[in-house]
Amino acid sequence: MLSIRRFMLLTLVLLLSSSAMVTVIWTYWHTSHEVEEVFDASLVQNAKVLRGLVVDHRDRATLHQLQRSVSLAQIDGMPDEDNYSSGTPDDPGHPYEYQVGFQAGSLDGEQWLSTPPEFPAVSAIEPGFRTLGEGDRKWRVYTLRDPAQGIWVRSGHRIAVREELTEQVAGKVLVPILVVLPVLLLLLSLGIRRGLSPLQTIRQSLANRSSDDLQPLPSDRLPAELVPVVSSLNDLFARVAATLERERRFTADAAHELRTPLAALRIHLEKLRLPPAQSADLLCGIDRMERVVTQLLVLARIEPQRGKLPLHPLSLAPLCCTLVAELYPRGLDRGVSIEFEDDVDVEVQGDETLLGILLRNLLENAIRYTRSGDLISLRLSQEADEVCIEVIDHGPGIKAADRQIVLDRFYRESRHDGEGAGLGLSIVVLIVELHNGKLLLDETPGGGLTARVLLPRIRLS
Amino acid sequence: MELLLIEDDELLGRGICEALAQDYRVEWFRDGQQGLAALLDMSPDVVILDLGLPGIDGLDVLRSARRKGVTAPVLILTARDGIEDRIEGLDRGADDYLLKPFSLAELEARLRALYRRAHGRSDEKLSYRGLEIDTRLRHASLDGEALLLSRREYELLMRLLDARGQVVTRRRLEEHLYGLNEDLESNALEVHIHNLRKKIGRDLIRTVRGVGYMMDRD
Repeated sequence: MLSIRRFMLLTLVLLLSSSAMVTVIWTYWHTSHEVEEVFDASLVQNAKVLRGLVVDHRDRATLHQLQRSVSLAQIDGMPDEDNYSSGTPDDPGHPYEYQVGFQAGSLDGEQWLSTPPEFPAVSAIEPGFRTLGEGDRKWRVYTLRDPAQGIWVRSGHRIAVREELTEQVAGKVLVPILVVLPVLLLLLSLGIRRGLSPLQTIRQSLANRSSDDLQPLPSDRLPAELVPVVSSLNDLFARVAATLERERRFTADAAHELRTPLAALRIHLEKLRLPPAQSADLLCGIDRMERVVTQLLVLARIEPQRGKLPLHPLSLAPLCCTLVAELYPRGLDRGVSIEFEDDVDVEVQGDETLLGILLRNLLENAIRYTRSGDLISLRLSQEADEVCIEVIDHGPGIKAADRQIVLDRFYRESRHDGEGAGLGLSIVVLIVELHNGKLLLDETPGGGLTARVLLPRIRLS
Repeated sequence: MELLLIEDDELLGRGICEALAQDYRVEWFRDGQQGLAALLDMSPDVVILDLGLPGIDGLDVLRSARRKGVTAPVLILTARDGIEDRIEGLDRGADDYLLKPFSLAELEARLRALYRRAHGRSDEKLSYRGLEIDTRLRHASLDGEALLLSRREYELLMRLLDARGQVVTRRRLEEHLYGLNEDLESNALEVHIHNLRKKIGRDLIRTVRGVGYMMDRD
């Protein structure tokens, strides 16, 4: 996944290490160039001094003596601090003596002087700078011809000397870079983390809020880059909240528009105090319209809440009590009685309005489909991790094969009195889903329908 | 009992007026401003207030009235059935809450209960299936014979009669008889009901198992 922190760290690591690399390479190149200039100049000088010596000694025929005074003992391998032949206490010598050499001879091919022993012997006398030898034994030499005296002179260095010097200088530059770079990167990583912490704070506060929380994010003490982001988010929250509020208002308005005329219709009918035989059909029609309106409004209210319904701890027994009390007179009109077995009280996580609607729908269904003189029971029970609400009737029940179909919206069983809105059970299913529960339809022993709602139980700590 | 109805819907307002006019005096106003003025002016026994009013919202009428010291009980009529709407109404000083559509019996029962709660009595003479009750004298008789009811039995009977046609939950009855805070024996209410039934006859009070008691509508 794309991460700003990782991207910035990676970029900085790459930039810093490549700039360190460029510094080291440039230092190496520049140093080696300068070292070359200095060493070359010293070769030329050495050659000129040697020429003077050789010219002097040739005349006095003491070349042999000169050769002995500068010659070095043969040693094995590369000379270094422990591996060189020292001279006398008066002349302790130095291992680098072996890295520096001279040759001299006459232009007619005779070689008079050569030291140290590794100095490559070359017969061709070409004046100027040349590189002689192979591999470890490469030498940089300067040859000087003096036709007037009939001599040539050559001075040289092992190339390894120059390279060592260059490497040491470049190494001195590299060491601080290698030490400082990791520390720098660590500090950078901390700095980036600190710099991005406002983002982390926003992420946290978004992750922790519940999904229906549309409060704006706090926008004080924000870095300038985040102000537009947070204010856009807050705008979005405000718009969503406004939309939700409009929707809620629309539902409420629709409820008012539909329920008020229904209320008027009912009260006008009831005030006539007609004998039941005359008013029954009218009342039945009004009942049915009321139910359809209620159920549609309930659906309109629940649907947008799917997945984001706030649930609160709720005691079910008082709710059951209220609903039975409310619906009992309606049952009585049909000769049906309702009882609530209030042996246990149970707590669930729920929404009171919706659970009330659920109980009402289950009870109304039971009332509608129960024969006069029968009893409907509402029962609460709890098991290890479930709470069970049962509505038990002794009506005709529902055939096992049809139990799924009745849960679908607007389905209504044909053999009944046509009073239902067909929405009741599908609303129950919706509400049960919103509470992470299950609805089971079973047969009551001895006939009838048992609707069983299972909800997760609250664990009391 | 004198009622003030504030309801903007012509059809519903007229229905309520005509239905209640058989037993009570009803004054009807169609908008919130006039209703509020009348409320301050005439001090009715109970106010029936619709929430969705033009001009000034029902809840604002209620708040203004309460702020101006109106104590008459207010019954709210509303089409909104959300718990939060109901709580808001009760918070602003409503005494009861009736969801549209409602039955006439329910409306009358709520009005009687509100009136009694405010005045400690309902209309002076009451008759119900052979029971005759004079609420001013707190005197009851059955088929012409005087009944000797204890204070609690009388209260219980009146509470059930006021809500006739509706179930009164045990908790409501206990609150009514003993107040909220008193500890009482779990079967104290059953004992009173038992005694009351012995005096007025078994059939008048229906037991709703697990829930409460009710008396049928006439």
